[in-house]
Amino acid sequence: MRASDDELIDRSRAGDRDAYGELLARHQLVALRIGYAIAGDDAEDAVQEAMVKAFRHLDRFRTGAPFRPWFLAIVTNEAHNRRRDHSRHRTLELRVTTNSMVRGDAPSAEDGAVRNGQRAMLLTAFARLPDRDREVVALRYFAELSEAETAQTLGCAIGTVKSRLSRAVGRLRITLGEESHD
Amino acid sequence: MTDSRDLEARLVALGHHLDTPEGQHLITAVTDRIAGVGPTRSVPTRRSLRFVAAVAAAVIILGALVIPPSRRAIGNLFRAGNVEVRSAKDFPEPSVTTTSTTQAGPGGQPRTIADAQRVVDFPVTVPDVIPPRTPTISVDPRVPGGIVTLDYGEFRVVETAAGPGRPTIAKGMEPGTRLRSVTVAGTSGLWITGTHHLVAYFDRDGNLRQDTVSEHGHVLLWARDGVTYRIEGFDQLADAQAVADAIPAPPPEAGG
Repeated sequence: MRASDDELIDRSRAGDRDAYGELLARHQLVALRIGYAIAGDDAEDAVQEAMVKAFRHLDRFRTGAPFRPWFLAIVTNEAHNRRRDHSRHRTLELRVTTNSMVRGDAPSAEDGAVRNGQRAMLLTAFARLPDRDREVVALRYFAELSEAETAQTLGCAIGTVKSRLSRAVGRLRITLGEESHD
Repeated sequence: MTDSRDLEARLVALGHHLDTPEGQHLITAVTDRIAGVGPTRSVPTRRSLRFVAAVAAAVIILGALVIPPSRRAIGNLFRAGNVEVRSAKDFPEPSVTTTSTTQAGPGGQPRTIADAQRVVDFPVTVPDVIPPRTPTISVDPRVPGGIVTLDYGEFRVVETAAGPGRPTIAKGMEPGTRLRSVTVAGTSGLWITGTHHLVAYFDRDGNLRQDTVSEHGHVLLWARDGVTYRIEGFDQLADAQAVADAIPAPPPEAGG
């Protein structure tokens, strides 16, 4: 039977590295997405560091709370540190994958090219957002956290998340030439 | 559906199509790093953080190198092959601090490979770099087994004996030093990056020689067939690995 996150956390606290590995495996993909969205090619280093730090601070984690927002808060912080230290003066360079099997969608070659082109444009616009906007967009949409979880991750109020999201999405629409005229 | 909702849906879809790193070895690297280091039970002090970092670094070394059964730990001092890992604060002040790309080999005048081979106790091998180049060779016989340094200008290859006796190399890790477990020339190795770390050599009496303490940047480190290899001077792991791959395996029973 699949162990719950809480069970894996308890075993990890007792020093069970396999349990911690299993826990990480559940959240690795989303962590890498967040790391990539914030720090680009430094994502893997940032996530690795966050995973080690999370282990060292597991005793601070409140049992019963969702693990993902707590963990992603550490990932976000590490990714920010990498971005600040290594590339803060450069525009972030991000790429979409050309792997059409992602999530099982296998469009025709033509459709795939169009979609990839549209995604690349959206990603370019995303990469040009200020760091704080990218952060909230990545957590809400790339990690698919709820607004409440996003607020928990960022350590702010839900209202702050909503206003940041509104501003960020508005900036994206302007960049993409999709401003609302209503 | 409003424009905003459509854009939000496209952002969610975009999240699934980011070209994120695969992270194939990420969890293994993490569980290796935390091996033997339990979660802290309270807010760690700066001092304890330094210690944890030193322990984590040492554990990685232990896990990544070819480790003889006699490996042991004494306090915060660890041993792997002929490499001893300790906190940088336990190092003597360097008498000469240079970077890896400009330092001449310790104590040596340029020699030929044949000259070097007569002085050291292990088979000296030279990478088949392309285009072929002749390195400046220096030897330090003060260290047990000897050290051979092949200096190619922008990078250096340092070879030492990895025998079961006393350690010959000491590495001093700062908390910011990053160690990554990698495959080098078909074996396990380490890619050490981040803040500069200290390297020094022990003399035949087991004392850390102050005159060999120097700072180093990125280093690729591995052991094979009784020899420890170090490549210094590259910013990119792939470049260092290319040189490592060009080092031929030493002959099975090379004579001195």
